[in-house]
Amino acid sequence: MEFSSESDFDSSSSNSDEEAQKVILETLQKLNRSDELSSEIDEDEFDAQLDGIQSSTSFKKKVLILTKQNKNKKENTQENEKKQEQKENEEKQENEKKQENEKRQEQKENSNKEKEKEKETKKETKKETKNLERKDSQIGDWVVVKDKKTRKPTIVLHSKSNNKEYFKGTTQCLTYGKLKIVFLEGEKIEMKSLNVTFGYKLPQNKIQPILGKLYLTNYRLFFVPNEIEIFDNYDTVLNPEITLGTILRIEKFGHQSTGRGNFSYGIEIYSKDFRFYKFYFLKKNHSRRDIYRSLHVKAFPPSIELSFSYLHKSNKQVVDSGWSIYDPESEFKRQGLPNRNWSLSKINSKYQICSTYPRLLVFPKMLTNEEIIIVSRYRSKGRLPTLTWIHPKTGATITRCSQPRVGITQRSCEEDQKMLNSIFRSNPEGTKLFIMDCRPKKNAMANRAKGAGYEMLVDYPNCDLTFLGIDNIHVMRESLNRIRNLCFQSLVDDKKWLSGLENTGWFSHMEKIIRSSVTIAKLIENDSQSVLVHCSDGWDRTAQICGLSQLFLDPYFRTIEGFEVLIEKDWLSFGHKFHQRIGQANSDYGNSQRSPVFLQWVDSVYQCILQDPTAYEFNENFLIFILENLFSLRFGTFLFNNIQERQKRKLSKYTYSLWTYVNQNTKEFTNKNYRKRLTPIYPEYAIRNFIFWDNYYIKHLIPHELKKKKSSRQLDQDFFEIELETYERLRNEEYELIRERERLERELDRYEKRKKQLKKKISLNKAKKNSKK
Amino acid sequence: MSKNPPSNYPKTNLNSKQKNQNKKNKQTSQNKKNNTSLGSFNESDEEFFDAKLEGIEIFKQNSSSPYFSDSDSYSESEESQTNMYNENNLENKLKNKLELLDGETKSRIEENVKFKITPKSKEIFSGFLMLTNYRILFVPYQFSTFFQKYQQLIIITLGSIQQIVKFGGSKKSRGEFSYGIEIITKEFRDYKFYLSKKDNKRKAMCHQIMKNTFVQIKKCFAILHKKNKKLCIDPGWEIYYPFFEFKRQGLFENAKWTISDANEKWKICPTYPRELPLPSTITLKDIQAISKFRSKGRLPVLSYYYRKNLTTITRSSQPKVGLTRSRCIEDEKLLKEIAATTENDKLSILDCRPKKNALANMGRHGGFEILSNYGNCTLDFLGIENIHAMRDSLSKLKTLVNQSVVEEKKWLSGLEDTMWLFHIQKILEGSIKIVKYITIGAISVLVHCSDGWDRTAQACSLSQLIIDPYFRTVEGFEVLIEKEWLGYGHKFHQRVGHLNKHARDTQRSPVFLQFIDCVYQILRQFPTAFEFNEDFLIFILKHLFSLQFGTFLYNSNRERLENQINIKTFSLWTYINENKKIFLNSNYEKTEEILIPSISIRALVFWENYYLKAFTPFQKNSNKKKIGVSITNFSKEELSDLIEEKNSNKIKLFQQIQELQSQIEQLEKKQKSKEKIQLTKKKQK
Repeated sequence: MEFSSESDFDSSSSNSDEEAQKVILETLQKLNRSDELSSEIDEDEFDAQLDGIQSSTSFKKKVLILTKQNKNKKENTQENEKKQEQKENEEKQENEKKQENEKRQEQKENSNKEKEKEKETKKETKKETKNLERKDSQIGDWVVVKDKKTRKPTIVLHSKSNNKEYFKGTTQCLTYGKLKIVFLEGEKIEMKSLNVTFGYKLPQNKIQPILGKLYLTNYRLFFVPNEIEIFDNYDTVLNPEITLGTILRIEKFGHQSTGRGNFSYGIEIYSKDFRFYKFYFLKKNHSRRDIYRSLHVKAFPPSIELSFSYLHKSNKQVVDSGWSIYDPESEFKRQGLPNRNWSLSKINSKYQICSTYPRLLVFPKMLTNEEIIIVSRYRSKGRLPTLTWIHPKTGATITRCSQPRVGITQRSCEEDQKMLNSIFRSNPEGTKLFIMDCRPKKNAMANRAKGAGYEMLVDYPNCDLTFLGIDNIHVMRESLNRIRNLCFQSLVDDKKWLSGLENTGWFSHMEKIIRSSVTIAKLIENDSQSVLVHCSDGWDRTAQICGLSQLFLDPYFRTIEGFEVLIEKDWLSFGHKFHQRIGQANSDYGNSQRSPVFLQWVDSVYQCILQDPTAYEFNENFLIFILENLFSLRFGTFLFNNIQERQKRKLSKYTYSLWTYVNQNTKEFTNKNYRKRLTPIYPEYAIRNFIFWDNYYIKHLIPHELKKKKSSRQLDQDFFEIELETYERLRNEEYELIRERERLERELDRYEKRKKQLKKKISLNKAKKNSKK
Repeated sequence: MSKNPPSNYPKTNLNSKQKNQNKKNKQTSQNKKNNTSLGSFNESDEEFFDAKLEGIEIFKQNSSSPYFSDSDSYSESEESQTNMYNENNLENKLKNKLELLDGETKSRIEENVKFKITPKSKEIFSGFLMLTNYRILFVPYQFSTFFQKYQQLIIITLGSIQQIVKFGGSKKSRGEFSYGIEIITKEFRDYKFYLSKKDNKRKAMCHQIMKNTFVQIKKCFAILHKKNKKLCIDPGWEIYYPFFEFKRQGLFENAKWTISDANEKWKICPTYPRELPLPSTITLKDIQAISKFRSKGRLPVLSYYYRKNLTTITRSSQPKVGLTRSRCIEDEKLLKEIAATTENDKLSILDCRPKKNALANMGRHGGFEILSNYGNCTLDFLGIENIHAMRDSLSKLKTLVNQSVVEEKKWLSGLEDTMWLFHIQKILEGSIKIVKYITIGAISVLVHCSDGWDRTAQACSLSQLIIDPYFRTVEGFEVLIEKEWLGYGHKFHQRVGHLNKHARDTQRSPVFLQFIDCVYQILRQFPTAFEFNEDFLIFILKHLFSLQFGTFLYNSNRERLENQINIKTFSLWTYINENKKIFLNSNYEKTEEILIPSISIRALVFWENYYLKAFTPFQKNSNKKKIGVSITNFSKEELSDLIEEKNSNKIKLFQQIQELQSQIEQLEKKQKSKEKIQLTKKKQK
């Protein structure tokens, strides 16, 4: 996706030298690709051979040599490319250097790995295969081999899954009896500290100390108890394992010399998803110092390029399929754009107009480029009104923008008025353009003092303004903090759970969000009115509202692929500042820019899923997985603040996309009861319909409570499946027919109106004639 | 849908049984189909039954119904275009509803009654109230729009009426909606009907409702319902035989237990069943002595035998210890014997009350076992509050629900204030304690509260439900209710307040409702472990109040038998077992597991589908999910009918679209011709 669009856009640029260079680059890349394809096949064969352990060793060696050769080739091309890149962007040398360093490291790692590989294969062949018992474990796609004779902890190295693109190469796996820890691609152990005690929380809120080892890899921190048998009594789920990206803060407690008792010296780890772990260390030789330091460095690296997401992908040349799941052009084409009122504009192709918007924007056809530029100056941060969804039949639209810079002086902008007017005109059936300001009216007023504000209806004759009253990011952060405290409290005493939950305000915030999305959906579907959504900057609340209402309106977004596109479109491409809001690789946990906006949105989606178990193709696990990897720094999807930064840093090459993984493992994320439905969905939004999402918020705290509840077994297996489907189909057809009928009725209305107008005209004419006479 | 309106059936011949049975089947199937037409009927269960029973007296006026033909508004609504394709179905639906049950007679029809769907909604529906000896039915004249909004007809069974309140005097009150009657029900919704002030019908109407509602028990509808029938015991009454049940539990494998016939003529304890399972070493004299020592003569008897550990759950009432600390050697012997039946020779006495209350009872000649007199026993208090606390909690819950429908501001904290969930938590906690004693601890348990028929019944039956997979089947659950609640004398008549004029009777309490709510909580946490679904529980609760069945009449088995209830009325279980299909859990997977539910407040929920069913109507096509009820909530027949309906709709829509298209074409032609004319005119000019 990236390459093609780049070339498209750049063709218009004037620098011919750069162009030429880029053409060269591309050809080089293509060459690389072909190389890789061949190497892939080789490796696959190699793996297939590894699977059958009894195969001859000579063949393996050959394959190894082959793959090595291929890799060397690749490295060469990589270096070539780098040189050219350096020439290209001389300003960003520093970054490049860092990357290069990394790459060198990686190369080393790769070579190390290969050595290991060889060693291991040799070992394997030397050993008699009888000692090894093969077991296909259920963790992801990994094949885990377990040593049966010596039950002791052993690192077993083994081959991989069938996936061709993702997770290539060999993997490592730690097995300790029941406990299995599978290493990801590119993950390696950084540090290991012995004699660490972990306070294990029992159901009765007692704490049982468990002695064990603490491992730190470049991706996560995990704990392995010395006596594995402890897991026969307790859950493996409770074993502390935390990805580095999820760590909120690390604190030391106690002092080596002063503290009393055995358990008074160690580190506490707080996580972004409500976990809290305490590790106790021996009071000798600064036993916690090394791990604390390296943990701190690893968890909060100076730049994101040093995080695991960059190490995860070994093959840096291929853009994996998840990155191209969202192609703006084809998505808008699916929605039926461009049409006679709307056109796709490339005016922002170099991010000149708005740095936080995507390159491709949709504007009404009536506006010229000059006018668009003036509008962008009038809107704060240049985020001018642009279309995000259009109703395929009625032409009603959802447009989004930031607040206008009205100020106390009540500045007005004719071009902006023209813009809104033409948005209104583009919908033939609309009686008004509904401007939805997500903020409470108070806040919007206050913003006027800062030179911004809201549309003055005097200037916009065809518009109607409503305030949705959703609070800002700071209130949301506060609310989530309260929930966190409540969760910890309720473990001790849940007497005040309900009123506590009410006091957090989380549900009432969510109620507002869902309610306003439903009203927008109903406005568009039932009354076919166009809606313009904005808040202050148009990247937090606006994204929530637009995303949800599209989810209700468009059945495509209720599929897995569609949901991915929805996130890519309304969150990632329209510039929700994930980096700031999550605080990726940032130790400043009190930062006021952090806010759980996206989490709140996903929670709202969860509430809707609960209410309608057949309407969504994805399930709860999908949402949880997205949230887990929002923090984990394993995938590149949610890195950085906007699409410009992401493209500059070529994330699609250096990291994996979350969607690649999801699309290759759709099975665990699909809702088995899903039945396609075309009709829009209006979930209920009373607070009593909401359920606290304990499978996400407190799953680490009380897994023993939730384990049984999560029976995601297929319902109604053979229960008149066919009839149901035909019913669902008929319902959809009926819906479409009703739509059609409505359309025709409206047309009739219009004709009749015209008739009346004509009659009036005629009568007027007659009257005039009469008067003249 | 209108293939076979009920009026087409030949009149049933009461004498020939075979014909009746044939008809039964036919009609059930027909009625099922009719039900589906609306696709959203909450009360549909009723109709199944209406049709099922023989000798349906068809509401003859149907075809030439005065209510339909007379009321202009109705015929108008039929013409309205928007609902054209639903109209026939709705009509059928209504006709079905207006069918009277067996033994039901119309007594009054009140025209021009007004009703608001929610207390604060602006839309007002006028219609007529039909009063029979079984229910009050409100039929709006514009029922198609009414159905769209509310999805169900308003049917109030007389049994569920707690009180009738008149509001607004005819002279004093002002405004249109200030005069009428309010029917306060035992369930969660109260209904306000507005009457016009001009005709002074209110008094007569109120009187009639009161007269129909609070009748003598011998004239109650459950008895009238079966009057035309051959008086024989229907199979539902024979679902529970103590002997078979204890045999199933494996009691007779153990020689230490026998079933004593001391209570054959209810001389020992009138509220107990005739068969008392007791240790075999206990003699008749002992029994007599113990029954004098325990309050109301409710001596410790076995309720569940856990075969794996040989442990037992026994239940009783409180001992009459009193302030004098009196003791009874026979009672001590009995407990010793019960302990001796297990391997470790221990018995744990669980008092369901809070310790405070138990102590207070000492002053009233009650109290709890003094441990020094009972050798190897331990005593524990489960801390479940008494019936009065529960009643208060329920009334708070009711007001909260009614408030929150109007304005939902303080829902969560309001829910906390009602304490309802905390009471449920306590009950579940106590039951789990019992379970843990007899399974993990292998210690037998004696459960009692004050009289041993409220909290004891809750705790015992819940713990058995948790342990024994048999009780999680439809049949088993019926047996459990028969055994623990009906058999051991839960005073349904008093607690529900059947046919009781006094709305504030302090003997009323939602003990059974609470038990069903607890079952729902477990069902919710283990949605595949039960053979029945949520509808089953809702149905039982509905007929707890309705008085259509004799199952929950009277206070004890003795009274029921003496009044020949099993001959004079139908059993609820008969109906359920004959229509088992709709109560089956579509996700049922049998497990032998002991289901220990999570009792954290986080895990307990407000039972929306029951408490709110009269407010926000459950829509079949829409979102909310009942546990175990098949997701789309259709039966196969319903579904095929729905498909048919949709197909016909499709055809109609096609036709409409074609019409519209042709109209538009015509208009276009006209316009073109006009334009041409204009053009020619211009040219001419």
